[in-house]
Amino acid sequence: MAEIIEFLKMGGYAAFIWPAYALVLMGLLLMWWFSRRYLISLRNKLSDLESEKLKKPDDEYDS
Amino acid sequence: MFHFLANPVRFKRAADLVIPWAQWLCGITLLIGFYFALYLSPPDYQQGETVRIMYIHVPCAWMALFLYFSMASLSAIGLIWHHPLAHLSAQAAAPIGACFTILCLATGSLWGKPMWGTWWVWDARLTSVLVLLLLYLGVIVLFKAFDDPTRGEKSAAILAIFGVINLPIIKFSVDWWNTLHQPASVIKVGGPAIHSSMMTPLFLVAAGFTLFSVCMIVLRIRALLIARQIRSLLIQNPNLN
Repeated sequence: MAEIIEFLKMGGYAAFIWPAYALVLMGLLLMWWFSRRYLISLRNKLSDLESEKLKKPDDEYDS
Repeated sequence: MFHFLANPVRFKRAADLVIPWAQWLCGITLLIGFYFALYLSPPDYQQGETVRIMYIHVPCAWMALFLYFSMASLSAIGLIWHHPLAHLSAQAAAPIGACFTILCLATGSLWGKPMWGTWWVWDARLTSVLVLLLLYLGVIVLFKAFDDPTRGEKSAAILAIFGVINLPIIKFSVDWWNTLHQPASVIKVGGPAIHSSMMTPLFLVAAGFTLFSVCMIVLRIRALLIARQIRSLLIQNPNLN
C-alpha cells in the first residue's frame, strides 16, 4: 500500500505529472472520438442522400 | 505504392485491411510505453520524477514537427503532380498535427512550472512552437475558407509549404538563441545524450503516437473521400437536401 501511495505521489510532483498524462490521454481520446464521429456522420449523410435519390424519379430533377 | 493507393477504392480496401491491426498495435505499444515511462524508468538525477513528463512531451513535439513536414510534403505533391489523395491527406493530417502541438505546449507548461518556476516564457523554442500551432490553424481554416474546394486546397498548400521555414527554426532555436529550454539530447550530432533506460519509453511512446496518427489520418481521409462523394452527388442532383 505504501509503495502505491509513494508511486502516486511521484516524488512530490504528482500535481504536474498526472495532469500531463491525463491531458495526453484525453487529447488522444478526443482526436479518436471526433474523427470517428465525423466519418460516421458523413457515412449516414451519404446513405440518406443515396436513398433519397433512389426515391425521387428522374423527371423530378428535370422539372 | 503511392500510385497504387491513389485510387480511392484501393485505398479504402488497404485501409480496411491495415487499420484494425495498426489500432491494436498502437494500443499495446502505448500501454507498454506508459508502463516503462511511469514505473520502470528511473527518476532523473537533477529533475527527479518530473522527467516522466518528457516521455509524453517529447513524442508530442516530434509528432507536431513530423506531421507538419508530412502535411507540407503532401501539399507540394498535390500542387506539382496533382496526386488525387495528396491534398486530402494533408487536410486529414492538419487537425491531428494541431492537436499534438497543443499537447506539446500543455505538457511542456506542466513540466516548466516545477523546473523553471513558470508556466510560459516568450523564448525562442516556445514561441516558434506557438507559431507552428498558428500555421496549423491557418491551414485548417484555409481548407474550409472557399466554396470551391480546389481553391482552398491550393491556398492551404501554399501556406503549409511556406510554413516549413519554421521547422528548422524550432529545431535550432535552442542553439541559435539563449533559451530556458534545454538543448537537444536525442537527435543531435554525436548521438543521444540520454541513457537507454530513458530512451526505451521515449521511443515506445513515439512509436505509439506515430501509429495513432496513421490510424487517425486514414480514418479522416476516408471521411473526406465520403465528403467529396456527397459534394459531387449534390452537384449532380441539386434537388437533394
